[in-house]
Amino acid sequence: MNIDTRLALLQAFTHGESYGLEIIERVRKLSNGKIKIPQGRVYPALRALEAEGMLESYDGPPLPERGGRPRRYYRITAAGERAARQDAKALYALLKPALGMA
Amino acid sequence: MFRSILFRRSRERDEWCTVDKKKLADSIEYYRGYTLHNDDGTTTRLSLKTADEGARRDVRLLRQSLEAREHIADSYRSYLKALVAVREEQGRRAARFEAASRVLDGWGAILPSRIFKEDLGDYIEDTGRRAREGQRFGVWIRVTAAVFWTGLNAISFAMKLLGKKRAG
Repeated sequence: MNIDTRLALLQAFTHGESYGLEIIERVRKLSNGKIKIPQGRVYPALRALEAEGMLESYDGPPLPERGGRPRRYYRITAAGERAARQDAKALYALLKPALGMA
Repeated sequence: MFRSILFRRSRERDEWCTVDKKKLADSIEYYRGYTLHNDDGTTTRLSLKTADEGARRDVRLLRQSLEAREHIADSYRSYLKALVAVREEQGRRAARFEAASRVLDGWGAILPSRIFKEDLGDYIEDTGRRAREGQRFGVWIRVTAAVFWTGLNAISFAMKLLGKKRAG
């Protein structure tokens, strides 16, 4: 299924903070395997969302399984939550007829 | 079918012991086609998950044990063979991950620090998981994808930075 990466990521972050690899898996699980974001596209999207003020990030501790690199964790900001809610409302209105709720 | 396997520990001392078959089966991570011969004449195929202390033993010691004990029961020989196979496979997996990490580390030297840490770190983590699962081609497909995507992201990162400088 094709869906805007930004929209999918914002919705996934309303469930709590996460990092690149994990958020891809979360989107996949929440959409019952229908939405798969390619790993290469996630990072520019996360950085763009951070630049827009929708997400904030911090480095975790260095991990040996990452060759001593830290994970970069992201969490949603108040502005991000507002945007996610607006997106969800718009999507819901769009999908109502298909869900038989019009 | 018996729940445990009886084998003779030493010909000289006539010492016997039993091994719980389930524990034995759970102790080997990777099935390599070996079969346990039960003392009632039937056989049991190994399907295995986590490695136990035995599986962590040095391959050389296990090999010696296997070669030195020609007299031991088929079941125990099968067990030792399986342990050797497991240990060798674990070594191959670790070597595969090490080689992939080296390639990615070398490639990462020319990447911006943020991409080096975040994007490449995630790719290395994912490569390690695949290597542990025993994927051979999956590891190298991941390395190729990592080089492609991090390269592309680094170019767009640099272009954005240049654009900002020009605008500023």
